[in-house]
Parts: sequence; structure tokens; C-alpha cells
Amino acid sequence: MTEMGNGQAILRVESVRKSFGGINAVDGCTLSVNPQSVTGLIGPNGAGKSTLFNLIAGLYRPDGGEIWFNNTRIDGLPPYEIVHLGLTKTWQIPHELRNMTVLENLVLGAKHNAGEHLLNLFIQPGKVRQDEKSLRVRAREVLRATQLESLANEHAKALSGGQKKLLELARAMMTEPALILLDEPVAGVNPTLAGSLMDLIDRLRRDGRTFFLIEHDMNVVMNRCDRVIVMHQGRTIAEGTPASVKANPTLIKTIFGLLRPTAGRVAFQGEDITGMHPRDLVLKGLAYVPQSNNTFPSLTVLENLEMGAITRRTSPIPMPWNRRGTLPDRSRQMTDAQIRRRAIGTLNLFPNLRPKVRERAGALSGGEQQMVALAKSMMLDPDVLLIDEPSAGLAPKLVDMVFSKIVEINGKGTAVVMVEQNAKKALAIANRGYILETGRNRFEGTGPQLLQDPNVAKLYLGG
Amino acid sequence: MAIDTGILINVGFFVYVSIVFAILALGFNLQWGYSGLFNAGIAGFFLIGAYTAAFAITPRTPPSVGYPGHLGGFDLPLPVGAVLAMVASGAVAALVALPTVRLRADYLAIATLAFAEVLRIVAINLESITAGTIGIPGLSPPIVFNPPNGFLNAMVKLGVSAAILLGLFMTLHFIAESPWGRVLRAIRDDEEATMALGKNTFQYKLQVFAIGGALMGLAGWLFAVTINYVEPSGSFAPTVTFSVWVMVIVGGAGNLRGSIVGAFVIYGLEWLSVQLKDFVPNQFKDTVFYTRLMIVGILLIVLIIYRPEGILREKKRILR
Amino acid sequence: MSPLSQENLSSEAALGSRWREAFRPTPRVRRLFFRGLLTVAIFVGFFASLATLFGIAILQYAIAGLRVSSIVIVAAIGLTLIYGIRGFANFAYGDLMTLGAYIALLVNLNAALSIFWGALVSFLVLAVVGILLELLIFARLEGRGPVAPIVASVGVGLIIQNGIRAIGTTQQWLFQVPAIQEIPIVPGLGFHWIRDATTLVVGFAFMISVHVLLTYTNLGKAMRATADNLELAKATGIDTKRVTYAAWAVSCSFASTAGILLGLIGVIRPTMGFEVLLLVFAAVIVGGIGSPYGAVLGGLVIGFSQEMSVPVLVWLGRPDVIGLEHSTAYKVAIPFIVMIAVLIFRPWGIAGRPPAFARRVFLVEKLSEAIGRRIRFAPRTEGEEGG
Repeated sequence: MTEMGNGQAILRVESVRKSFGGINAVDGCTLSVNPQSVTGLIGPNGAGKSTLFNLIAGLYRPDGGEIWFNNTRIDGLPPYEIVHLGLTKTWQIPHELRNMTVLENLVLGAKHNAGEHLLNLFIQPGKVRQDEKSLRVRAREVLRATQLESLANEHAKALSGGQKKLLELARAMMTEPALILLDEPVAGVNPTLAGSLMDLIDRLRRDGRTFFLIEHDMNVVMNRCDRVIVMHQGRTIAEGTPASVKANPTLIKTIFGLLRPTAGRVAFQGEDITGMHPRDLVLKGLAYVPQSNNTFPSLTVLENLEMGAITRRTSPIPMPWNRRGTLPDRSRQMTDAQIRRRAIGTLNLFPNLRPKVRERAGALSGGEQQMVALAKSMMLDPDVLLIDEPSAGLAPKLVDMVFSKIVEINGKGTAVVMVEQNAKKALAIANRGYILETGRNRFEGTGPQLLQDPNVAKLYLGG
Repeated sequence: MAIDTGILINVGFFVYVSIVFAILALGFNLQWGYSGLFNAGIAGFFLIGAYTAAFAITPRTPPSVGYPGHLGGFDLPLPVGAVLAMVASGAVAALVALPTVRLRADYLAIATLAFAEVLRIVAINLESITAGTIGIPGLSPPIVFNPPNGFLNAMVKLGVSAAILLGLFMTLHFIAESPWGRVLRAIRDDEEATMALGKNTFQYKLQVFAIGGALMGLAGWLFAVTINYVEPSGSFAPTVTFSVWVMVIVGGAGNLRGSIVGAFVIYGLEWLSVQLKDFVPNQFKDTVFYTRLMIVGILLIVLIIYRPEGILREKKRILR
Repeated sequence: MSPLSQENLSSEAALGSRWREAFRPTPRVRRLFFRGLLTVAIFVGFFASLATLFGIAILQYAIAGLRVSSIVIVAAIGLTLIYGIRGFANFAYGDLMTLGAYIALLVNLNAALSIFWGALVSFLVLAVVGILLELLIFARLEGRGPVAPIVASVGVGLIIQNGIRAIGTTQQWLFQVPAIQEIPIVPGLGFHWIRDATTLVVGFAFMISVHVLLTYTNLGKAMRATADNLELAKATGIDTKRVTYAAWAVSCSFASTAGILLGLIGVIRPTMGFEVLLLVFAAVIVGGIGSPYGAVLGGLVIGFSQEMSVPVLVWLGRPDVIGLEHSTAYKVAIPFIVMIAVLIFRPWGIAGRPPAFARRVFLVEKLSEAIGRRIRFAPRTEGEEGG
């Protein structure tokens, strides 16, 4: 069919593309995975890693390109057929079958179970019983290997997050796969369990299975993978042995109210804001720009900006219920006309948006939407502005522009906290930098300090 | 003596109509409780079963003055009618399922409700085939007594329907608690994950929708045979569908025994309201009836808010 | 000085030019305008050709279509608002329409006030009912998927419908309105001030008012924002709870008005609303769930497809064609057929956009999977031994 690729690869992905609503999640990705290897897939949030896994597993249909597994072309095949060919995947957020027991979850993973065909129940009851019996024995073996045996008859929903991850892997093993795609297998798993999970993967690999995994934990990537593939903006940008690939795997989850912390305390101006309603955070002067889905697609650009200032709006007609939720400081309130004037003024800072003020935000390109989100956050003069990966998915020229806007916002007296993969550029404008690894501070210092720190440079800035 | 059998006949009526609803509830439980397919067209499949039975079983009735006649009149034996009813309903269910089971639950509900309403409109208006609102009388009971004996008649119907329910329950229990039924519950919990475990979920959904439809068809046959009469406007109204929902929710989704209990409880409420009619003043007679439907409404809301898993919870399946 | 402050926005004149720039019709606006013109032209052309072909009396069906469309549009806008913001199909909507008609009837008959006052009282009462429904029932079902609120709304519908019956009015009622005659235009084509003009005018007025609400008021923009992305709306500082209550109030008061219009063209009875519920659902689905503009388009399609099918059905009912008995009774089935076709081929509606993450699987493929044949995506295998 095609001359490309080496014949030994168990999985070959060739210029696969997938876009969602104008955003190219996977954009001509090409890679291959060797049999009996543990291959790591790393890259910033939004690089398209999980989408790629869903494309390979058949959950999404690619817009273009080819996917070959063991010399069979699998793109466009339904997921259940791909599983039967010996390729299976797990999810980053476990997809356990909640209302079924752990053992039931596992038995369901088996590819061939006579009893799963309605007619067999009546035609071959003996085979059904026999299959079921042997599968339960096999499931218990897998449970023993994954240290889940004691939970065999618990509902899957009763398991802890880490145990659910183990269940995902155990269930995947039941399908007798040749290749397993693991989406962040150790995220949220405690270190001991994570260690034994990775040992299990090592053992299984020696039995002849291949693993392809997305991982942010650099320990896992550096110590356990044979090869590492780096993805960025929907393509592979580097690959090689872990030692030869030096990328920036930093990932920070935002502390914003949308994700409630399970422990610990977040204080803002001396007040405990842990788990507070997002709206109250905005009223307190804490604004937030999410990484994706950060504009209202059916509103126009202008309307998006107007919404940004909704907490500061005074109603032209004073209604008793309009009091609730407006800023306590009356001097910072704005009338509708002021809000609109300010919106237009803000848009003047983004010349490329000006011809599109009356367009639906959903019709804009990814970069333009990022601009709208930023402009929207500038409507408020917040005390603190949290920005999640402002440069994700943007062309280099636009990245520079976004960063210069952030400096402008900061110059107005707003403290900016930003999560960013582009460490070099981010640190260049940052007063302070924190480098997080698996949820803990790894390095801390002023921007220039970090930029000059040899350790940081070696690990995160590409040498 | 006369009064005694009267009460017994009445109780017998309650039991076999409850059994009709229990079969409907079992069918819906298989579709929703086990597989998550929210069918709002129960009344439609029920109707197909009842009319197929009527066409097959009744003796030939040519049109006459005041009666437009109807399709069929093949005078077939009752069991053949049952099989035909199940096949017809099941086949239509499969056809309906083809384009709709992939839709989200709310779209599926609207589409199936619309389907059932279209069927009812057709049944009311297509007089040369269904005899319209006049309905099709003359479905013979399982055993014809000579001279007619109301008591024995009711007891035979009761016996037949109880036997059918028992047989159905055992069969359904067997298939629903089998590995096949386990795949259905997996689809209900997370269809994407089930697909990624190598199951052709579409095929399972199609199968279960057809089987559920066939059960509803069987209920239609039983209804037609026990009531001896089929008419379109009241028996197959959307309220039948809603009542079946309550029965399954009361009994617990994913719990077959619960569906039977739910059917008896909820139909019991209706039956009681009919019995009460004799004891209330004339002007409140209708009020009692409509209050029952209001209670059904209140039950739906209260249960779905406070006890969505039903009064009898789904059991945990312990595998050895 | 920072470039952000308002004082720095240069002179008023410059501001004016920026304003003009902001409102300069963009390609999208122009496109919409021309599409609107095209639609109107198609409609006019269609009816003109019908009238020349079959005689002007055929326009009676067009008037009936407009009448039904405007009622369905009012109802569909109300239904789709809640669908968009709360994400479920409100099966009680038909019965809320009935409730609205009965409240107006109560005012109309008992207080002997004009139907206008009845409509006003009913409008306000239903708004309160809507807020109470969210407060007491549906707020508790948030995050429970689409089925739980559907079941609860069916419960609400049963309570309303049978409550009305239990209170003792199973009979049919008529609004007390001035008795006027139809104005005959030509034989077979007439125009009735109350039946035709009122529904048309009210329907149009509600359409305009919802457009104004959604485009020019902060509440309306907040509603659209909330329907777009609830999480982002919260993070932006929109009081989504208040927006939800407002949407319920608007939705239910639209139900009351639709119910009253329904009572004006027909009779008032306990099942009147439930009988048109599916029609309204059909309009919402055809237009694309959650979009008020889609609801307008869907309402037109549904109303016209129902009423314009009548002459065709009459023709089918002729003994020399197929002699379908009661053929015109099937007109109520036509919208469902349209709806099911839309559900199969364009589940996101004729005006809607496909959801970004929809895994588009088309019927043909599904059918082929079902029968076990692969029509388009057969596994292709490289030679026998592979690489």
C-alpha cells in the first residue's frame, strides 16, 4: 500500500490529522512504535496526545492520514474491531464501569466469551459455563498481579483514584493485547503504587507486550521508557532515547475554583478561598483565563468582552436584586455605555480582532480566540490574573504578541500568574518562577535566576 | 356465592392486568434499566402487539352496518397469535432502533414518543384496517366455557398469564444475568469504555431494543386476549408509557423482580381508585381517578429526586 | 499612561469612527441578510406559483400554516431556552401551556376581564411557576444526566394535567372574545381577525422581543453565554443561578402565551397542550436544540409542513387516488416524519452546527456494521507476509 515506515514497527501513524471546530488537535502527526518496547509520548497540555490515542483506538475518526497496526490499516475501523486485532487503550480519567464489581469489569475485558452472544446461551450452555469459569480464573490471576485481589467484589465506583488506574490496566490486560496505549498511567497514583505499577509494566513487556504511554512524570519517562516521542501542536517534534530528548514536561493544574482541591488551603489576601464559588473569586478580584474553551462561541467578540465586565456592571434601572453580586466598591462600577466603550478600547490593542468584532467567537481561529479570551480578562483590572498556557497552540509570532500583552496588563498593576510550557519566554518576563513536578515545587526563584540556573537549563530549557 | 365470585373475578382482573403491565415493565427494564436506552414509545409497541394479536386471532368479521371491519380475522390459535405479536413488535422495534439507538437519551425519548403517537393516530384513523375508535371485539378467551362462566373464565386467564409471567421472568433472568446481560450493563455504565473492550455496542443495543419491543408485543397480545377487545384511544395513550416508567423506577432499574413488584403496586393504585369509585359521591368520582394520575406524577418526581435507584436496589453481582 | 484606561481613548470623533467600524456589517451579517431575503423570496415564489396553479383558495392553507407556525414558534423558543441552559427536554412544557390557557380563562370568565388581562396575569403567574419548578425540583437534579429531569418533568406534566381535570373541568371551554366574522377575500379564502391576526402579531412580537432580549440586554447575553459554556460563565462571574431562574421565567411565560393562542384558535381542554408538545419538540429538534433562531426556523418548517400537507392528503383521500380514509387526520403525523428524518440525517438540526466532538457515524456505516458487512471501511491488509 505504501513504501513508508520500517517493517518492524508494531504501530505506524502517518500524517494523521484531526480538527475540532477549526482547531487542529492533531496536525499531520507521524510516528512509529517498535514491538516489545515501552515508548513514552510527552508534550505540553493540548499538544494532541490524548486525541492521538483516541484516533489510534478508533474512538475518533481521523480527518486524514493512515494508521497501521501490525500491517493492518486500522484508521476508520470501529474501536471494537481494533481491540480484536490486539490494540487496547486506557483513559487518563479512568472509565471504570461504575456499578459493576471489579471482577465483572475484568471479565468484560475478555475478547472471546461465548456467553456474550445471545444465541450461545441457548445453543451451547456448556461452553458458556466453561468460558465463564476459565475467564474468572484468569481475571483473578490478573487481579493478583495488580494487587487488586482483595477488592474483587467491590463496586468499581468504590475504588480510590489510584486503584481505578490499576483497574484500567488490569482490564486492558484481559483483552490480551499486543499493544497497550496508556494515558497517564501513574497520574494521581501514590508513589509506592506507581512504582509497582511500572514494575508490572516492565514484567509484561518482557512477556512480549508493547506499551505506548502518555506521561508527565519525568521519573517514569526517563527511567522506564526505551524511547520518547515529543509532541507539540499536533505533531511530533522530537524522538529518541530518554537521555537524548530534553523537553519541558512541566504541568500545573490551576488552583482556580473549577477544580476543588481535596486537601490544603488556598489563601488570597489573607482570606481562605479554598473551594469558593468561581463567581465570588471574580468579585474578589481574581480573574482566570482557562487554556481551552475560553470564549463563548455563539457570542460575538464584542459580546464576549462585555461579558468579561459583567461583575462591574451597574444596571441603568436600580433594581433591588441587582445589588447582589456587584462589586462592593461603587467607584469601580461601570454603566453599559462605559463597558462598551472600554470593550472597544481594549480591542484597539488587538488590531487583528478589530475587523471581527461582530463575528461569532466560535468562527475565529484558535489564535484569535486566545486573543479574545485575553482581551476579555482585561475588561476587569483584576488584582490577580491566572492564565493557563496562553501560548498553547499559537504560532511563534502570536506568542510574542500575547506575552507583550501580558506585560502590559502587569504594568497596570495586575499580578499575573501564568502556567506556561514555553519556559524561556515565560521566565524572560516573569518576576518569579516556580517549576512544578508531580504537584510539588521543584525549583523556585526570580525569572532571571531560573533562566541562569544550570540545572533548570539542562532539564527544561533544552540545554 | 354470587358476591364472592364477583370479588374474586375483580381481583383476578387486577392480577392479570397487573401481569400485562409487569411484562411491559420487564421489557422497559431490559431496555433502560440494563442498557440505558430510554424508550418513551412503550405504548406503541404495546399497540402493535395487541393489534397483531387481534388480526390473527379473531374470526372473520366482514364489514357490516355500523362496523367498518378490520384486517385479518384469520382465526388462528392463541399461541400463534402470541408469536406473531412478538415477531411484529420485535421487528418494528429493531427498525425503530436502527436509526435511533445511537442518539442521546433525550433525542431517543422524543423520537420514540413521536413514533408511538403516529401509530396511535394511524390506528384511530385507518378504519378499514383497525376498525378505528370502534375497536376490534371478539377476541376469544383461552378456554370458552359453555354455559359462560365468569369465574372460571377469570381464573383461566389468571392461570395463563401467571404461567407466562413466571416463564418470562425465568428466561429473562437467565439472559439478563448472563455474560450477555453483563455487556448490557457495561453499555449503560459507559458505552465508550465498553466499545474499547471489544464489544460491538450497537449490535447489543439493537438486540435489546428488539427483545424489549417483542416483550411489549407479548404484553399487547395478553392484554387483547384478557380484555377480549382492542381499541386505540385509551389503552395505548402515552400515560401507559409513563405508568410503566414509574413501575420500573419504583422497582429499581436493573432489577427484574422489582419491575414486577412495581407493576403490581402502581396498577394496584389504579385498581383501588376504580374500586373506590363505588364509595365516593358522584361528583367526586372523576376526581378520584385523576388524583391517581397526580399521585403517579408526584411519585415520579419524589422517587427520581430522593431514591433514583428504586425501592428495591439493583443487587451487586458477586462472581465466584 | 497605560493604553488601557478610558481617558486614553482619543477624541470623541475617533471614537465615533471606531463605533462605525464596530457596526460595519461584517460578511456574516451580510450573509445572514441575504439568506433572509432569499428565504422570503422562496416563500413568496412558492405560494405565488401554488396560487396560480391551484387557484388562490389554496392560500387558505398557507394562512393556517402561518397561524400554526407562530404558535409553535412561541412555544419552541420557550422550550429551547431551557433546553439550552439546563440541558434537558422539558416534557411538562405542553401541560404548562395548558395551565397558562386555564389561568387566562379563569380571569377571562370569572373576573369578566378581556382576554388581554387574562394573558397578562397568566404570563406573570407562569413566570413564578417556572421559578418554583427550578427551585423545588430541577435544581436538585443538576448533573444527573438527561433522563432524570425528563422523568421529573413528565411527573410535573401529569400533576398539572390531572390537577386541572380533578378540579372538575374535563369539559371544553372557549375564551370569551368578541364574536366576529371571517373576512372573505375570495370564496374559500378568508381572514379572521382574532384567529389569524392575533396569532400572527403575537407570534411576531414574541420573536422580536426574544431577539431583543438575547442580543441587546445583558441578561440575554448572559443566557447565551451560560448555554454556551456553563463553567466559563461561572468563571467569568456571571450569576448563572440567576440566569437559570430568569430562563425558567421566560420559558414558562412563553408557554402561557402559546397556550392562550392555542386556546384562541381552538378549544381549551386539559390535554390541549400535551397534544401539541410533540409538535413543539419537532420544531426544536428540526431547528437545532438550544438555538432560539433555530426554533423560529423549525417552527416555520413544522407549521407549514403540517398545514400544507392537507391539500396533498385530501388528494390522497380521493377514492380514485388511494382512498385513504380520514386522510387529513394524518396531518399531525407529518411533522414527526420531518423530525425523524432530521434526527437521522442531521441530529444537530438544519440550522445548527455539528458539535465539535461528535463522532460522526453515518447511518450507512451503522447499517453495514449491523449486518456484518463493511461497505466503506473494510480492513485492508498488506500482502500475506507484510513488511
